[in-house]
Amino acid sequence: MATIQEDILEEFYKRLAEAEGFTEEKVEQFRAVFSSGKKSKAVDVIKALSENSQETLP
Amino acid sequence: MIQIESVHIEEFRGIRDLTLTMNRGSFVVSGPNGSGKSGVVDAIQFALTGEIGRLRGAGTGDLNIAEHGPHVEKRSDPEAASVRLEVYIPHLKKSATITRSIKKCKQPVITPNDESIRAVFANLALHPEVTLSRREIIKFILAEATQRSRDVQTLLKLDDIDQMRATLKTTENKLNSEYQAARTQSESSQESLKRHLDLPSLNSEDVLVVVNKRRSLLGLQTIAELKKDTELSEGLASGETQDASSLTKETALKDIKALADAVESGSESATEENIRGLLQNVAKLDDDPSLLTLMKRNSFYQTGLEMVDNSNCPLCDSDWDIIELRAHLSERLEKSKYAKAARDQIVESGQKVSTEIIRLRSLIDSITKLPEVPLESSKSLSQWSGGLAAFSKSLTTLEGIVGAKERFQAGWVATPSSLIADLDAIRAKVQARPDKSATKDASSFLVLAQERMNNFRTARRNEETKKAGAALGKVAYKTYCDVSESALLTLYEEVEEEFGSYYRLINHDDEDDFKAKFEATDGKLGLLVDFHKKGMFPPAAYHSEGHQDGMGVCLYLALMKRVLGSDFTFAVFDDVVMSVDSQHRKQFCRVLKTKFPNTQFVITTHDQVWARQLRTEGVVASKSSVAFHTWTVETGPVLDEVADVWDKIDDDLLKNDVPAAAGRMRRHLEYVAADLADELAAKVSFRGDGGYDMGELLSAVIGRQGELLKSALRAARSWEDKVQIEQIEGLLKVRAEIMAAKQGEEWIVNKAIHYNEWADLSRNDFRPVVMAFRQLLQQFRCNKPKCDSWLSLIPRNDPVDLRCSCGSFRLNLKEL
Repeated sequence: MATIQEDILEEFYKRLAEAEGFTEEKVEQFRAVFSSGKKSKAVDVIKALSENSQETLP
Repeated sequence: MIQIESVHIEEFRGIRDLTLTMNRGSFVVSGPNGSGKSGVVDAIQFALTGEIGRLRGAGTGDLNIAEHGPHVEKRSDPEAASVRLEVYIPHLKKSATITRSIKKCKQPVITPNDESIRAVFANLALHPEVTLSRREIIKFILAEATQRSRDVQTLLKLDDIDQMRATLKTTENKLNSEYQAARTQSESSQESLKRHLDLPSLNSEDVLVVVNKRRSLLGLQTIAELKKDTELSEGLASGETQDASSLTKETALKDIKALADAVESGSESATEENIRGLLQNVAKLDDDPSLLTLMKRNSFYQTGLEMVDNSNCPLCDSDWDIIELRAHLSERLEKSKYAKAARDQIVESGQKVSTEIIRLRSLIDSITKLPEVPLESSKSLSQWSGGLAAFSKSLTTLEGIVGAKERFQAGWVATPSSLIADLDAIRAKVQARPDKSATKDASSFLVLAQERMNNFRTARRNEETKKAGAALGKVAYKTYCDVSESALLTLYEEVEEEFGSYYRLINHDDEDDFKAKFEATDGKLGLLVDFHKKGMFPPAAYHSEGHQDGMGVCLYLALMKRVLGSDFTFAVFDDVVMSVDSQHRKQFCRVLKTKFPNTQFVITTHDQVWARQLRTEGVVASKSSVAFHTWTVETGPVLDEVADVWDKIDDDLLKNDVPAAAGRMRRHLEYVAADLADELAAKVSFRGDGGYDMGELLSAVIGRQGELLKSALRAARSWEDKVQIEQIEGLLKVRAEIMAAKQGEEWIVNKAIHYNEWADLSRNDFRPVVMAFRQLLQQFRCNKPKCDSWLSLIPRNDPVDLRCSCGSFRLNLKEL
């Protein structure tokens, strides 16, 4: 039986995948951070969210 | 989860050597207070978790497992103290054994030692709540909302959810801080570019007008469109692009003015409100220095909570109880909430000042590059800028911000005393620059415009990246909160419904409309319950203590069912059932039997009536129980064997030990006589002290049996039920033979005869006595081996049937 946390995480990833700005790759990075078996640190999450933007300005 | 086949306990707590065979079914351990029942609970808990709950918690500071786990006679030999459980694992369809000694309490021996079985035991070690003591049941009911929230979350293993929420919140905050800093940097570089271009805002058309005017003057091709890679100074000879800052008089004057304005009022006034709040909070710290400690500890507890992710301390590798430690840290965090609010305000003010420092340094750096700045002034400006950078760095910690109180009071900008004079001197020198040719000036203008445009573009790119990161952080946090809150809401609804249904089943006679409602808000979990349809109130408002206890057990069962589902195959109730008031015990048994048919309950109780009722109602099979008679230091619990007493008496007689056999039989008769008197509602003279004589009880039971058989015969005749008539006549005939045989052996129940007097008897003399009483008792029980329960009256008042718990023996008592 899946734990409540596991259920919540799966739904969380599903909703992130539908959210604007979250690519499939980013969701997978999230999944990797939170399923590493260790307590997730903010710094790991920040890393997953702070990829360099390819956008440039005029 | 598991079900226990057997428990073997050696030299552990108050027990010397004890084996209990449970055969994966529910099991009851009864006995008076101090007879060693809790030793069994401790042993099971220890075997599964390596812990003994009774030696932990408030008031147990001097106690520890190593010293106080072994039997008192073996406290210097912790290796001798051990517990072995033989278990069955339903979902794996495997049997396994776990043996744990006090000496190596963290290293149980598991056989077979395969991964799937180790995983089961590792999971069980995280569920100490499978053992529920009487003092624990009420905590879910009477706890204040914050504590209840924590207890329920711990039981449901939900603390990881809060943990993750906190991590995502920290992430959101940090990403937002980074974005704010990047935005400030971007705005500064934009201001710098606007000053140079002398434009109130940056739009492509206006920029191109200003730039193309200079390019036309220089004979360069005008720029038609401003693109992301447009070079404003494209076409200038390479030598003309050097040292741009020295070439623009007008821009230099604007930069000087911008710095002078910022110093005069801008930077300080932008942070004025924050500084006021910050100084108020710092004043609170001066009044109460312990607040700072609490603030620091709040951060420490939060960090600690994030670090508690294993069963060992990451610094020294010492073992810790992960659940207890997390609960402890959460409690400390709650207590330091007030300090956290003040801390957050102080830190926020620090961040605001840091943002202003970015702007100010950007202005200072523009001036420092001017060639008119004398060496002394340049040194002073650089020191000032460096000092501001160091100050900004110090504002990243609470201590740094608090330590800067005097600087905040005096004016954090800390303008060098010579600055105004220096700026005046620099301005005069810049104004004194000889006017250059229009083409030279245009060239300088384009070079500096390109430089500032590059800075702005870089800063904007960084700002956009940080903005996107901050937006993702915000979405991630909000999404997780939405998902987890929705899941918890559903969970609480399921639990309150389940909890209510158990309670209604137990109290159907007076609270058939009972319902419960959880109110989860901001880390709190309120609980309201219906009171006789008069409204929803806290459980302790009107319900009796007995009812509150009943709620505690029901809520526990509902929570366990929700958290473990079909894995809820095992639980230990240490004197818990005592909490259910006597009028509702039968219904409580029904809840256990019907709602948890696959759960093995190991139940201890000091109430013999309760123990009997658990058997009568079929929660435990008649052989699945043990009664502790008494306890001594030397022997540990002394047992009244309920299940295999006759086999043991046979063993005694084989050894020709008649006193042992007689003593055992006497204790057994004492035990069952009370049982049977209760089951059959036999009439005896009431005794206030409950000290009934065994002979009197047996006599009343036998008489009552005769009455009931006669009633059943009359009823069968009235119904012309030939099968039952034949069955009862057969029973009466056997009964008469047994009575005749017993007649000569009744001296056994005479308490005036001491065991020692039996020492003169041979085993052959004693065998007929054993046979007579064994046959007598057999008359009162079901002969189906799987049932083997005592016959009892259903219902007790105005009985309709005399029957066993499986229903295969049933005599109707009601005539037509």
